[in-house]
Amino acid sequence: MSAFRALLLSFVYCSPVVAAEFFTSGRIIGRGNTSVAQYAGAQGGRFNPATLAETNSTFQLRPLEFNGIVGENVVSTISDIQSHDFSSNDSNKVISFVRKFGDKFGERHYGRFELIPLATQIFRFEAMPFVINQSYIEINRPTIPEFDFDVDTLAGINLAYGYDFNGKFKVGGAVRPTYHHELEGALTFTDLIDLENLESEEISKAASGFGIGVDAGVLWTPTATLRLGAVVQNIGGMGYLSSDGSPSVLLQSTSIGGAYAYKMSRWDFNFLADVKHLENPDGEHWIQLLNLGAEFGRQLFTRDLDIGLTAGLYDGNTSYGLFVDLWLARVELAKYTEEIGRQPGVKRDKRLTMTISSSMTL
Amino acid sequence: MQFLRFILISSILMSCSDNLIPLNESPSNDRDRLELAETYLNERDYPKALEVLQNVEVDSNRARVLTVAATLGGVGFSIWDIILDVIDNQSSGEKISPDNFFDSLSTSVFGEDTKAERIAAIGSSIDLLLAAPDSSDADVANLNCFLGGILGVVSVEDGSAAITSVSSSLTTIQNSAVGAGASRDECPGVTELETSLATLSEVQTNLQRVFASTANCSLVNTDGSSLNSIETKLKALETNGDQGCEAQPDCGDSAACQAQSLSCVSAIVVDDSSVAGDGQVSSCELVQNCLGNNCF
Repeated sequence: MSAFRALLLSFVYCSPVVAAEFFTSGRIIGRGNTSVAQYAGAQGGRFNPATLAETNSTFQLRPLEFNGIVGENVVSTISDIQSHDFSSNDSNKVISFVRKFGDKFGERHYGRFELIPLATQIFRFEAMPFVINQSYIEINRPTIPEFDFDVDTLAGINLAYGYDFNGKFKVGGAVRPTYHHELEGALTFTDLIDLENLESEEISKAASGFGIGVDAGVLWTPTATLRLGAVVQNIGGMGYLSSDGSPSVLLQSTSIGGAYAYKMSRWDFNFLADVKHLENPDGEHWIQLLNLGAEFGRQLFTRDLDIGLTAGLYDGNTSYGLFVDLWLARVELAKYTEEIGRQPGVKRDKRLTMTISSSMTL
Repeated sequence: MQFLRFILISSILMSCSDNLIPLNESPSNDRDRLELAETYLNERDYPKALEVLQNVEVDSNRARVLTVAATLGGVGFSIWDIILDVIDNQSSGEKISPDNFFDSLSTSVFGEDTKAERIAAIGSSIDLLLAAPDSSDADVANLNCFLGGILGVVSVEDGSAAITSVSSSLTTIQNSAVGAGASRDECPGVTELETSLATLSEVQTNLQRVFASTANCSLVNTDGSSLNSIETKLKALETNGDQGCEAQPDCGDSAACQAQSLSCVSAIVVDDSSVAGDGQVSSCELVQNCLGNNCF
């Protein structure tokens, strides 16, 4: 029965992957992950530090922001677990439960959370502590099964500043001291039946390190409704000042984008387009670099849209969502599909994301 | 009212999320081919996986492992199912280990109607893995060892049956031989012996694969003192079978043994290449040294 335990544990013991996107939010993902030239808001600084130059507030405290992403496969598996009667010791029931996983080959069980406590903005300077964990496990090849798992944790503080040259041209920069820990591994079926003699080093590899990422962004707003921007994240790649093992280098990512606002009497339409990860280190299909999005919403009691719908093209797939400011907290929901493979359609993972954030602005 | 409309539209949008770009079924490089092949494997579309893998240009361990997965899947052989079946049949609380696993394994995993094709698939899979660019890497070596153990289960059973058949054919020849038994004409039943030997030769080929794939691996290891059922049989085969091959074997006074001294028999049984203790058991060694069913 130890094999069962290993199997079950391997589903619980989730994940490291270097985040394709350092920061995320439900609203941004819902509109196709477009963020480079987005309108100023509480989330602007971390995606393009130049947007901090547009802030009109002297002080803003965001007590807590939580971004969570969960794959639909995780939801399905949790549902399977909940529907199973674990109080019974009937081995047939245990086996029938494990057999359910026979339908999950190739499905990635993915989860991610992003915790941002006590982010503080003073004039055009922002200090934003963060903890990000991204994890997955997947089973592949039913004829000769293998479990792959990956757990990636990043913790640090994002220090960003924006400068306005002439009202139309803004620049910004960010430095991000970051501790990075990653754990990755694979458990084959032969490991499973020889679990007693298996050393953890044989199936997993852990590495960690401390480094400083540097970002730079520009924003050009030729008219009140048109915005064009560019941002380079982790300039030169974030290496490590000190490390244990060989953690993955966080690669430089350059993105360009634009946004256009179409204002109606009460409701606004925002259209956004980004081309992200221009370096394209994995040789992905061009459609996976293109991000298109739109949001339809209106202001109620803040300077940002307080309620709205989002839709977009993200990673060659459609995305949808909504967001609403409930005064005490802002809630953003989105449904999207991540292309895990290098080529469109090879390996898609449907995901749900939710952001809950609160802020106090003076 | 506006808020209700907002909720309605958002519900409709949230209910549909799908891809816009179709799958490219003809990738232009090996990395994408391997990725696509794995996708097909996970979808249990083994013919398509094999089709993609045939276009892989650069040989690699991963390409070989995926080809093995597709080959086994093509004949309905799933290790996932086998492991679950074995665990299912184990008594409650029993720890799973390689010994318990192989002790619990039976030839039923090959099926009645699918036995020949599954044996062939495993055999070709072992050959593929033995010739892998880095065949000593743990992922390839352990998989190969595991397949060797499974092939061993059926091969020792088939070997035992083949030896019985050969023994029967030899007894028939000994009892019906005329003259000195120097030619086929003087040995009625020699055709049946050839048929039995052909079957034995197939088994011997598989046994060679078993020995090659299980050499230097921990899952199937005949060196220790505590041996599982397949390790016990392989050790017996190696110890008793690998004793060389003689033109005039000294194997007792049974009719089957005596028949081997007939020229019509030795002409088709004896080979000059069999060497005692070389770690390989030839067909001739099986016939001469295993007639007493002391090898399986």
